[in-house]
Amino acid sequence: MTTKSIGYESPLKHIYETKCGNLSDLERNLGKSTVRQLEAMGFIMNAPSLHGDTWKISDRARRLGDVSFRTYSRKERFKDFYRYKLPRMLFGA
Amino acid sequence: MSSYFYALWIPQFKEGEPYARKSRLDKAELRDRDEDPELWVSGEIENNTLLIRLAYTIDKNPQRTLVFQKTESSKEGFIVYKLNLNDNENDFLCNRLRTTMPKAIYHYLKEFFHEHQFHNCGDDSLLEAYFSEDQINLNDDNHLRSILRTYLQSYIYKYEGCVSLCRDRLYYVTKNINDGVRISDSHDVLKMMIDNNQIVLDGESMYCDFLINSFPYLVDQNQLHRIYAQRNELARYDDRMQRLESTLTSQKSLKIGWIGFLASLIGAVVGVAVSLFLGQCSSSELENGVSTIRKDIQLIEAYDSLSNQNILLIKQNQDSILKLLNKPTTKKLRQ
Repeated sequence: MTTKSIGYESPLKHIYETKCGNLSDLERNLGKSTVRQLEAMGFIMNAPSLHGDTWKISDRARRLGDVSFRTYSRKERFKDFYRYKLPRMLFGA
Repeated sequence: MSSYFYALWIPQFKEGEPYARKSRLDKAELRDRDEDPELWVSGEIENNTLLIRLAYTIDKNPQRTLVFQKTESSKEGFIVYKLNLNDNENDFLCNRLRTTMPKAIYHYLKEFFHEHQFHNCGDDSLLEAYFSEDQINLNDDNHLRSILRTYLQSYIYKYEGCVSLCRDRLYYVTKNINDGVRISDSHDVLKMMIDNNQIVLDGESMYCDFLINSFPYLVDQNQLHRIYAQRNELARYDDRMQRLESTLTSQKSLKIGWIGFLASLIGAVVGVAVSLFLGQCSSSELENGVSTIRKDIQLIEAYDSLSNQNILLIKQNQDSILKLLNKPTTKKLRQ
């Protein structure tokens, strides 16, 4: 069984972008062990279907994905500047 | 007709045989994609015998019912169910149940017995049911060892996944902080990860520990070693994340001081601007007033000089004026 790290650029991002699909396809893309990890962590849900089991992303994974992969908007940039960069510049924190 | 056996574990951390908390489960759709056939399930359980009737419909087909008979249960939370299937029952759900219990069905049936304490139902971990075509005997150590191995493996996957996720997320956060980008997002990710780790380490681990402690002589030592190693690794990552999060929080708290500083700065700037504006107004008005007074003085002076000139003229011509004034009077007197 192959394992891929569940991380920023790999499985979590993959399931966050793909949302749902065939379980066999997911196992082929990420490795069976990784898919079992995602299931055990409650990151994907399963359902039986006509052509084998399917999967879809769970609420838990969606919430983490929303924070991790949302676009870096101007508002966020301003927030970063105001909250962290400017105090760091002024107070050296 | 063939019989199939499933040993379901109802996660618990205290001894006690599973009992039905609900007698009926709401109808639920088990479908991940719109293009797949609809699969609706609804369940009922008999409180005394724990017999489960699972009614299901696939698309527009007539409703069918599967009957799961309880054969055994234990105070550690195991329940063994038997399902009889006729050979003519060959839709995809029945065919799937001939090889194992689909995780979605297990997850659905678990709701009869399990109370979610550390997370929402939608965030629940998917457990793999222990399946056998032969009768399962919970008093047989060999069966029990196999069942334990199946469920402890799910916890190994859970811990390994969490460690892997923490490792990558920590890399993502530290990289962002060093690059000075997505710091707010990184802070949110850290908070979410810490919450998640707490649920796993402090909450869900209790179930795993209960299982291990219930059968210390049957637990696979290799599995036990992996569980503890991964759990310690997860605790270390959680500690690092908490320290990083507190650093970011303290940095964020500077915001309050920064707002005060900015507000006072703006106040000072506004105050200076207002005073300058008011100062400018009063000086210009004063200048206008002074110039008006000057003009008035000039006018008064001019009037005075004119008056003086007139007085002089009057004095100089006093005699002739008197003459002029007296002239008609004398004429009149003479007349």
